[in-house]
Amino acid sequence: MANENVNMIVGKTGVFGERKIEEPSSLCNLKPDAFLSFLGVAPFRSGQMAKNNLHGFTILELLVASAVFSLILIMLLSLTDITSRTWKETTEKMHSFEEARSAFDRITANVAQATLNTYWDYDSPVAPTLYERRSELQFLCLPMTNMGAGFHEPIFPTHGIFFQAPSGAVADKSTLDDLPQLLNAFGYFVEYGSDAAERPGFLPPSVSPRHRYRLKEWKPASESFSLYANTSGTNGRTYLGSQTFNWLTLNSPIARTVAENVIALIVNPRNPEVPSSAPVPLTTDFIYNSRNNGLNALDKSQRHQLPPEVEIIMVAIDETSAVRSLSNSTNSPDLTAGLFHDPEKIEDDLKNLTNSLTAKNLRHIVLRSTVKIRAARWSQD
Amino acid sequence: MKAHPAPLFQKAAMTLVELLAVVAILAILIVASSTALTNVKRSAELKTSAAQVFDALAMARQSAIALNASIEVRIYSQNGRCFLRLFRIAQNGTVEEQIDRIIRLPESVTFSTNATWSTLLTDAITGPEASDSFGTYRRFRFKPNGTTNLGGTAPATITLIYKNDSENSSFPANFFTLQIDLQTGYVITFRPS
Repeated sequence: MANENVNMIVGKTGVFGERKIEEPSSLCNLKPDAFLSFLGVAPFRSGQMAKNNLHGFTILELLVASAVFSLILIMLLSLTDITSRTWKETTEKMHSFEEARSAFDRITANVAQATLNTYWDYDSPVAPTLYERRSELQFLCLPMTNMGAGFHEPIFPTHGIFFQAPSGAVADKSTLDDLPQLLNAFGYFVEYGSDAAERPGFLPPSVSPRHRYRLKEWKPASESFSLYANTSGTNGRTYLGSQTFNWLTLNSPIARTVAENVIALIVNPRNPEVPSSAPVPLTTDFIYNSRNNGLNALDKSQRHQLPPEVEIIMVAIDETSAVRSLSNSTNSPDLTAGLFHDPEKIEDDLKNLTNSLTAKNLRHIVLRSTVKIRAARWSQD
Repeated sequence: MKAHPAPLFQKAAMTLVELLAVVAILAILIVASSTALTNVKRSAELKTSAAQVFDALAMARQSAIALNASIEVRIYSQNGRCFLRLFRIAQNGTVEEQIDRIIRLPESVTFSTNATWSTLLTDAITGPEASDSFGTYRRFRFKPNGTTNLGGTAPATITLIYKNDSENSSFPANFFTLQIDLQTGYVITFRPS
């Protein structure tokens, strides 16, 4: 009875039998159904239960199952991939901007402490005509290209700020550590370049130097306080006579990194005490020099004065973006070319910069703050 | 039987040999993947410990500026276990309180004691070792003005390596070097690229 049933079914379908007759299996002399059952697959599903009918899967079912399985697998893998990538990106973003933020706090805190220590004296020791405000110290902010030879644009983009503040950073920490009011000279600027000079010497060559934008802090120890010593000046007094600072060429290790991937530092001295509503920029070209020599000599009444407030803007990108855009090139991509030369256009320039960064798919942050300089006694009388 | 002498539905059980083969293949796969996974786990441990130490140092530096107080970092390395503790220092120089939890490194990771790779663990940079109830430690401080009290002129370094590599005199293939700038307290990480 069972055998009859089986034969009937075969007879109805007849597929395997017929094919075998017409085109014998070339693989081996296995019959197709036997071959399939070797694979553990029944040639087809019988609606009727035969006694020795092994109720296996059909090849179709197997294929479907493996397809579903691989779909699930692909889904899971892509999910973990996306998660890990997002995780990596967010942590990098967090760390990068964390660094930029802490550097920004550092700059604003130090700028607020800036001092000029002014006093009043005759205008000339030989033939005095009047009293005037005097100071040995200097407050200076300027586009770095105005610093003189060597400070060209792609390597030193945007602005720098140089001033003095009591900070008590000393080299001889064992004996001078408890003098927190000692004066230090400060400088902040952005530099593009390799970290080869700053890295430890024992690193294997597999750790290749990285080319990045870095926010630099120049802060010589209080013992070596020589202000902006200029080799060509007389008595070290002509600080900006030739507009050349010797510290970067002679003592470059003094300028240390405080944050990586800071691409722009904009320093805009302003006067908030004008009756009109918005604070007015004090400069037309971002150059503010409290001295009466060199760059942009101020009106006599404004000499040796600190700007009452300074707007500081910092633009930073994250490390992932930096890796993508800089490709470890010795040539700076010059992201801020032609920008930030006119205080009136500061908003437009900032918008242009953020738009171009967004267009290049560089994730960035703009940190912006107005610092009131505590020691400023601004007057135009 | 007409055209089909062979039984159509053959009982397709597995033989013992087949079963053994499958088991053997599985075993090979498991062994191969487990060694790969162990390596992944080890390098993940090194990476996370470096991140932990970096975060601790960055936090110490930030806290020093934010709290306007010196923050002391204590580095313990004994009996094969390495850990860090951070302390807030009062104005008069006394140790006030521990901030944050204890930062423990996994057992497979250690600070290299090589004086070149880890200058932070030498007397010249941090001064002599001190000890408390947790054991002997080296210490240094982040100061409110953002600098450190570390001696020397070059930036201090501390290198994290696998414990297995700690006996070797050659620089290991896998490492994390943290560099602390003396004047700015800026911490930067170097690792094999």
